[in-house]
Order: sequence, then C-alpha cells, then structure tokens
Amino acid sequence: MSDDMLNFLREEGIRESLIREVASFRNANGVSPDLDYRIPRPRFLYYGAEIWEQAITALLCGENLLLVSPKATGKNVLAENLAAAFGRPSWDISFHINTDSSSLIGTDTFENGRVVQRHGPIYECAVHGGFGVLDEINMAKNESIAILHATLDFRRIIDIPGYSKITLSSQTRFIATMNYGYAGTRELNEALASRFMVIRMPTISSANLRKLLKREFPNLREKYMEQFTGLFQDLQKKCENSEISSKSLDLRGLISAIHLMEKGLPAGAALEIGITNKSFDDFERDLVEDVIRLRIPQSPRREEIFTD
Amino acid sequence: MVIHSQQKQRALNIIWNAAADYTVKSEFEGYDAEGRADLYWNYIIGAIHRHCDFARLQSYFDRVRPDPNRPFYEGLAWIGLENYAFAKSRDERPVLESLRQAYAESVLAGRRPEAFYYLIDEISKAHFARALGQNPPVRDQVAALLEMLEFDAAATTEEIVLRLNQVVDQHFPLAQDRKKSPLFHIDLPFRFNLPLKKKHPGGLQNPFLDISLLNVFNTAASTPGEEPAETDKKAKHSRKSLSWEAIKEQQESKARETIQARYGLSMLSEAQTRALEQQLCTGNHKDCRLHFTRGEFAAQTESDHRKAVLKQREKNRQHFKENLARNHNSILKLTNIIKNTLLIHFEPSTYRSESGQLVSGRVWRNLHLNDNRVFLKSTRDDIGSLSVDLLLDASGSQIDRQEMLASQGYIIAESLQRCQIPVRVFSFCTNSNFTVINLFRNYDETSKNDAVFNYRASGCNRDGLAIRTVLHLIEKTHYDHRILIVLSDGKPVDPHGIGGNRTDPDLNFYADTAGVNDAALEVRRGRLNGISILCVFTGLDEDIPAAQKIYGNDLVFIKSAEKFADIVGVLLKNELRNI
Repeated sequence: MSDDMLNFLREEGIRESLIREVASFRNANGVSPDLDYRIPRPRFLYYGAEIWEQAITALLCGENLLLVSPKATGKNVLAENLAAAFGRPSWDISFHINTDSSSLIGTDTFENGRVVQRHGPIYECAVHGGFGVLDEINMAKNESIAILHATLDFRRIIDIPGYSKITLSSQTRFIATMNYGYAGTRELNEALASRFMVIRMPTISSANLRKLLKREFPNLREKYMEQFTGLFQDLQKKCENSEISSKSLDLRGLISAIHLMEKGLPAGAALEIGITNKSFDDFERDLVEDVIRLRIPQSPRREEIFTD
Repeated sequence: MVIHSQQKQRALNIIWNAAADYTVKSEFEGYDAEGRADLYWNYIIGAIHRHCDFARLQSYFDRVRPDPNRPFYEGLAWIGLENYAFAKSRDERPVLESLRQAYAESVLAGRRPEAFYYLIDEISKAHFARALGQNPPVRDQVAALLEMLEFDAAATTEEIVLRLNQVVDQHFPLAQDRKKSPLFHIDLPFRFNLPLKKKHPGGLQNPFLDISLLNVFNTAASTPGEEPAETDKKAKHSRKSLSWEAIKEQQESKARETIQARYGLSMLSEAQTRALEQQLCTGNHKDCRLHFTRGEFAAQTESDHRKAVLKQREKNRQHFKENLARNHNSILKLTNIIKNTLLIHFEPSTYRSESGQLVSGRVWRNLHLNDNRVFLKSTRDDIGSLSVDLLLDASGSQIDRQEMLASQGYIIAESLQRCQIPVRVFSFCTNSNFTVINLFRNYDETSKNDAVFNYRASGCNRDGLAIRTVLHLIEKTHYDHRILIVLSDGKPVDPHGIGGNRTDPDLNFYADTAGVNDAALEVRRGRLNGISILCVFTGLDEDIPAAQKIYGNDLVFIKSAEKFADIVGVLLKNELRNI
C-alpha cells in the first residue's frame, strides 16, 4: 500500500529525488502497530504535480502547511494523501466556533474513580509523530487557538499550566485547511498564519478532472467523460463571472450524481439532486439547469454513459 | 447597470456559456412563444460569437441596419448561421443533436413565435425540415436560397459575409430611398449607455435637506476655540494689504458664494470649513476646497438648479414607487439578513464559573480537584456599538442611474435603521475645485430616510478627497465598529488635477490610474484605521478592475435589481461576522 502512493507520485511526474526522500522518511520512522489504523488508505487521490511538490518539500523541511482555496478543491484529499505518502498516522480536528484548548490539547476527566488526563488530538500528534489535519482553522475564535502558537513555530512544544512540557516528535506536522472566498471571509489571525507555509490550491483543471473521473469510474464512456468535465468547467466559468454563486459548483455533487447514474437513476434527476438543488435560489437553479441541459440529455440510456 | 429581466439574464448566460466568453455583448437573443429564453437558439448565438469573427460578421448587420426591413435581413442571416453553428459545435456537445431536433420539431409544429415576414417562416420551416432529415416540397426559389444560406463547418467568416451580401444583392436589394437613423436600436438599452456615457459637464444640481450637521462638527473639532480664531486672524491679516493675496481672498469668497448658491448653504462657518481644508486638502489634494451642505437654500433662492433638484426628486420617488413591491421586498429581505446575522453571531457565550447554572457532569471536579467552577454562566458578547455611513457617488457619470442609486441608498438606509443600527447618508461630487459633501440624513434622524431621494448627480468626482473627508468625519464618532459603504462606479475624475497644478491642467490629471491610485490609498488608510470600507459597484463592466483596485475584495456588483438585497445582504453579513 505504501508503495502504491509512491508509485502514484511517480506517475504524476513528481521529481524522483523528492520521492526518494519521502521513502527514506518512511523507512526511518516507524509507527506503533496499534496506531496503524490511523494511517490513511485514501479513497481519492489528489492530482496536481506542482502542488504535490510544494507540499512535499515543505513537509520534508519540517514546516507546517496551510491549504487555502474555495470548497471542493481537494484540500482534505491532499492532506490525507500526504499522511498516506509519508506513512504517518493522522488525526482530524474540525475547528468551529467553540474550539478551545480542551478540544485541542486535552482536559481532565474522571474515569474508574480516578482523575485522568484525556489527551486531545494535538497532544496525540505531538507524542506519536502524527499528521494533524486542522480543518477550517479560520472558524475558531482567534483567542482560543492562540494556544497553538508555541506548538506551530520553531519552539515545537506544548506547555500548558498543570502539565509537563512536551516537545513535538520530529515527524509531527500540521496541515491546516481554510476556505477563502470573497467579500470578507473570516480572517485568520496574522500571527497564526505566519506559522504556516500557505499553498493556494486551484480549482481542479480539466485534465486532472478527467483523471479523477477515469479513476473513480473506469466504466465511464469517453464521450460522457468529456461532457461531465465540460459541465464542471462551464459551471466554473459562470461562477467566476459572478453569474451564479459557488453553491452549485460542487465536485462532490458531480461525482455523487455520476454514482447515482451508475446505479440506474436517469441523468437529469441525478444531476438535479447532485448539483442543481445545491442552490436554494430559483433563478440560479434555472441558470444551472441551462448549463446542464447544454451538456447532458435528459434521459440517456445507461448503456450510453457506462460501458457495463 | 441595466435592470435585466430574469429571462434576459438567462438568455445572456446561455450565450456567454456557448461563446465561452462572459464579455460578449450580444445584439441578439432568442425567446420562445411564452417569452422564456430559448436554450437552443441562444446557444447558437453564442456559438457564432465563438466560431466566427463577429466583428467581421457585424459588417453585414451594420449594412442592413438602416433598412426598414432590417428584421428580414437578420432573420435570413440567422437561418444560415444556425446551420454553421450547429455544424461547428456538434462534436463538442453531442447533446445539441437532440436539442436541435426538439427545436426543429417545434418550428414545424408552429410552436415558435411567427416571424414578421412570411417568407422567413417559409424558409425557416424548409430549413429545419431538412435538418430533421425530411424532404419537404419547397418552391425552387426557396431551395436555391437555402443552398446559398446553409453554411457548412468549413466556411470562413469572410465567405459567410460574402455569401450573405450576395444573397441580399441578388434577391433582396436594400431600400435605397429612406435611411433610418442609425442610432436607434430596438433592443438592449445597455448598449446605449456605452456611447452616451459622456460626462455632463458642470451640470449643477442640488440635493435638498433641512437639518443642521453642526452637532457632529462641534464634537468633531478638537480645539474649536483655537482653529477658527487662528484662521480668522490670518484672514484679517491678509485683507489688510492690497496685495495679490487680498485679491485671491476675494476670489475665494466669491467662489464659495457661487458654490453655496448652487448646492445649498454651508453647514459650517467659513472658518470651520477652512480648518478642515487645512487638515484634509493636503498632498494630492492641495489647493482643493470643501463644501459641506444639507442642501438647504436661503428662502429667496429661486434658481434653475433648485428646480432641477426638485424635479429629480420627483423622478426618484416615482421610480421607487413604480417598483414598490420589489423595493419593499428588498428592504424586508435585507433587514432580515442583517437581523439574523446579528442574532446568530452575537449569541450569548457561556463559560465556566463559580456561580450560575450547575453542570452535574462536572461535580466530580469539585470533589476531587477542588475546582469550584462547576457552574455555567452565560454572557452576551458585547459587540460594542456599530455605525454605518453610506456615501453615494453623485457625479455626472451616474446620471443615467440616478433613480436606481437613490432607491438603492434608500433601501440600505431603511434596512439598517430597522435593525436599529445608526446610519448616516452622504453624497459627494466635485465642481470647480470644490468637493461638495451633501448630508441627507444623520445618525439620529430616524424618520428622515426619505431625504435620500434628494439625490441628484452632476459634476465630477474626486473620490480620494471625498473618501478622506468622510473618513475624517467618521473617525470623530464614538462608535466601536464603523462601516463605510460607498455606492460608486469607481471612476474618479476631476479636471483640477493633482497637486493643484493649475498652470498646466493636462499634467497630473486626476483620472484613470492617478485617480484610482489616490482613491485606493485613501481606502487603505481608512482600513488601517479600523474602519471597514465596502463598495456597491454601480458602473459598467469595463470599470470593474479599477473599482477592484480601489476597494479590493470588499466589492459587490449588482447585475439585477431583483438580486440587490441578496447581494448587499451577503456583503453586510460577511462584514458583521468579522466583527
């Protein structure tokens, strides 16, 4: 499995020297067997050689990453893929408005008549050399996550009152993700942002989308693959030109819709519930419908779309 | 901005999608018998934009434009162009086969709106019958025409134009006698705005209000005692000598009087105004002047300008009334969006405390850890006080959108007020070297929203100075969070130039890059001082990049009036969430 990821990276055209370094990172650092379940076996692969190289290089240099982009661009896919490629166990931490030190570092709890420490995911990553995925890091209040400042910079420590100071394991890395749209998305504290290498991820290109669809649906006919890719590009262009919001520009929705088509649902209905209905505005739905109808007929037979 | 109906917007979206270019300005659109945008036909129009050199093709349309039977010539061309567009696009979009089939069937079944010309109907039906693979009986002449018109995929734009002209010359020569005015266009008003966007030079109209701003200024002037006295002294001193200085002074006073006669009495004394000018008219705005007014006039003033203001006020109100339902809906929607944001994001927060509501799951902490904070206390987040200032661009470039801007200003002011957020509404324009700041309603004037309809556009706009001035006024207030919303088209223009270069006005013209950069600088300064600055863009598509340069990401464009509340709502919601 581990070699699968490295082979995939080779196929994507990542520099051989980088792949060798990743391999030596893996070999040098083991994982205890009871944490083996935390090493991801990714369902989706991230396509995009340039982004891969940037991310791998940063992580090899001991930096933390911040992935910034609109939704459905593969931030979590990439984070998971990176943990798999480096062979490290990963912890997923979803940030929200009530995130605070107890959900991150840990807190006391009462178990079997004794007070024990319940370690939070950041603590676990630190101790076991894991990759922490800090999802939607900008959603937490800046004051609450100031606690991470010492963890994320050159100090690499967790020093909380009442507990002993721990230094992060050398394999620990943090990969944060953040949506950044337009007209005032919640800002990330500058001091925190400075502790990451920031990668702006592009929306998926046509070529990469084709690869993704091909891998996910090996039985999809070429003709329809072109049309689905084209459909996504059309929606993207419309969104860039501010004619529709990004609600219907949803890669997850598209992939799910194709799954439904594979199961036998008519294309029109599948795309309606996967893409069109993601927008809650009547007029916007009309526009999205138009785009879909200019690519996909209402009710093609299943054999027209899939080879089996 | 033109108010597009939904179907028109749909049609344009289909055309842009097909053309793969969202800057295309199409003269043509397709609708079905119920007035709904037609999917197939609009796709064809867009495809022609993509696959043809439309500028060349335009020469044909321009040629036939003056003719009284122009729709005939256009209909003829589009039959052939449909063939071409379909041939070019079918490989890329296999779904077009079925769409074309459906379209052809509807033509033959007579479900399409009838063309004005019977011949076009006949040719069209014959063409689409052939498209369906049928072989209907047609008159020889029609068959011959179709041979010439049905362009195939290999044709170039030149060939197409050549062939079209041939058809016209051989079979349907243009009317040579009468020439229709080439300026008139039955269709899209937004095309009109392009040639007509000349600035209306020095058109001076006056907003009109009746409350004194003196209160605000009295708190604003930090040392009210000193500054005016000093400037008074200086003024006295210079009048003593019969020098160039004295003459300049007199000219200055005269200029101020003229401006007051045009725009309304100054709300401040001359000394106060000069003090502000000393403070604000520096750097790029050296030698500029300011005028603050509420649009009040001395009782005996009966000028053409005042009449024009009153006339525009009526127009503004009329326009608002005409779309009353939509406007009221917008107000309700926007009010709700703001209220919801304030409610959801400023929910009470809870924290552990030594008193309050007991959390049973934490009692063990008290027993074993001597932790007394086993209670939950809730406090309302104190977001602090919030104020919003609205600044309307009242320069001549907005002259075609006055009613719309007045409505928009009113909707925003009314919505904010219903949420009990203090609102102040200004407009600005520039005339001679005076930048006129007109106050419509102040924070506490909750029943004076109607005054926003006094908005009238004229003159130029020195955006940088106006923004600097308004920011100065905002900084003097005591609200914790302050937002400035500018309704503008992002085109600073002031012939007065930069650095008061009156000797050579062509140098350092305050426009284009220089103007945009200056305005952008002021906006950045304001933001660094903690004032949020947002823009509701009201201009033409081609000016969007300049506006983005000035206002950055906090900018929205309103493409249709129906969406106004939603879009502005999103802008405000995001801004409020960041507080």
